[in-house]
Parts: sequence; structure tokens; C-alpha cells
Amino acid sequence: MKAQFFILGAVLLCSLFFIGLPPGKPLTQLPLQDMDYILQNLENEFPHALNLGLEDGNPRQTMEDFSSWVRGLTSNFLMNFSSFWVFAEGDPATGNVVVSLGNYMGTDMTVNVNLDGDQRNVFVQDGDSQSTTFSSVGSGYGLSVQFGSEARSFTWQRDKVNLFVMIELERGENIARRNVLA
Amino acid sequence: MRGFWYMIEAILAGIIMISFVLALASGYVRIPGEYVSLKGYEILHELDQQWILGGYVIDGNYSGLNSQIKLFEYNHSVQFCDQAGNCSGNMPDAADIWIGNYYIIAGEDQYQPYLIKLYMWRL
Repeated sequence: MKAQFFILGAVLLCSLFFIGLPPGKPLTQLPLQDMDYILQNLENEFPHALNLGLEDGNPRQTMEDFSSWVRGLTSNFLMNFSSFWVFAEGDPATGNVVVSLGNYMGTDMTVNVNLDGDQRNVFVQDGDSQSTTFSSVGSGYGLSVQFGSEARSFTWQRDKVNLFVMIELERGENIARRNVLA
Repeated sequence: MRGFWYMIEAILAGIIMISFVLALASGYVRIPGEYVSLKGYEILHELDQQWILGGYVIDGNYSGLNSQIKLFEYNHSVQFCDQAGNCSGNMPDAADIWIGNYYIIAGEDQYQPYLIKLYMWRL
């Protein structure tokens, strides 16, 4: 009789394992999928591209080039890449801040830019970028951008190059998005 | 006689447990290909964080980068593709290549973007 407890115990242990599993799902699940790790990769590389562009003295062109290249690459992976970026470079000598806007959202748009109450509408074609210069900006400033149905606000330092990138990858019904601040 | 039945029952319990463990080990917990792809990404990402990856890519040293990659159970080779789509490195000539892993870099000391392809296949 005693050894029957071993059988009962074995059956119980096996049953408990299967009862604990979520119904209809495989025993192993992927912690991430390729969209997530391409996003993670881009999250690191966009600020890097901007830095390299600043060193070359042509940050806007570099960001444009990198965005277009990534758009082409991701389409090869059957992903739809959307991105919007804004970066600001301040000049401590003149107090000017140049705000650059890149639109890779798939449609032309008018971006509303507000720097400490100075409000402007900047038209940016899809796959292109534009810049606008604000003068007599204080060492710390508030910047708001509204692009499409989205709006973002930042408090940035004039004497530092500041970057915001929204990256979105879409494949079928799956959408993954990251916001990068640097 | 009673001891004999105890023994039979203990053996039965053992068979149930061993069958259960074998079933898990064989079919249910086989690592899917996507997990290997993720592992490949993690290796490239780690090399990038250590500032090793960019140097190999800019130098066009694909065999050097390949030798830095440790993936047990899998053969692997790398290719570097520039913006124009020109690739250097080895694409394996095997019938059973089943993973390609991609990593994007903007450049090392100057803007020079590359796509890194990591091919992995079972030994």
C-alpha cells in the first residue's frame, strides 16, 4: 500500500505542472521578438548618428540620411517604419536655438513648435526635415511640438544639443514604439 | 509477496516521472529558432556596448568579428552591408541556414552606417 503513494505522488506532480500552464499556449515563449530588438538597436543608434553628424558639421543631413536608410532596411524585413525626431542646438554666444524637425511618419504634416511662447507652424514633407531658428533664448527653455495627433513637451538646456526621437515599427497587427530622449 | 508489489509500484512511479521528464526534454522545451536569433542580437549588442563591434565593421574585419562570437551548438558567419547594399563577408553555402540576425550601426568615428548580418546554423 505504501508504494502506491509514490505512484499517486508522481501523477500529482505531473498534473500540477500541466495545470499551472496557461491553456492553449506553447511551453516556451519568446521574451522578445525581432521588432523589439531592432527598436532597441535603433534607440541606441539614433543618438549616435546625431553625434556623428554633429562631428561632421551636418547633423540634420545625417539624421535624414540615417532615417531614410533605416526606413528602407526595415521595409526589407516587412516592417513599416515611422519616425518623428526633433533636436535643438543652442549657441551660447548669440542665444539662438536652431530646432530641427524630421518627419518620417508616412504623410506630410505641419508641425506646431512652441519655444517659451514663441509659436510657429513648420510644414515638413514626409521623408524630409526642416529647421527653424529662435533668437534670444534663455539658458533653460521649454519646447513643445505637436505633430499629427501627438504632442510632446520638453525642458531643455540651450548649451547642450537635445534630441527626441519617436520610433515606431509596424508589421501586420503588431506595433512597437519607443521614445528616445538624449 | 507484499514487498514485490511495493517494488512494482515504486517502479511504476519511477517510469511515470522519467517519462514526464523525457517528454519535456525532447519535444516541449526545444529552443525555438527565434530564441537563437535573440541570442545573436544580444551578442552583437554586447560587442557594440563594449565599443568592439564598430571597429571590426569599419575595418571590414568580418572574420575577426566572427571569431569574437561564441555560440555553442551553432556555426556562424557575418556579413557587413553598407548603405549602397554592398556586402563583405561570408554568406554560408549550406542548405540548412535557418537564422539571419541583423544589427544596425551608424558608424564608429564618422558617420558610415552598416547593417550587420549574423548567420547561424546548426553544427
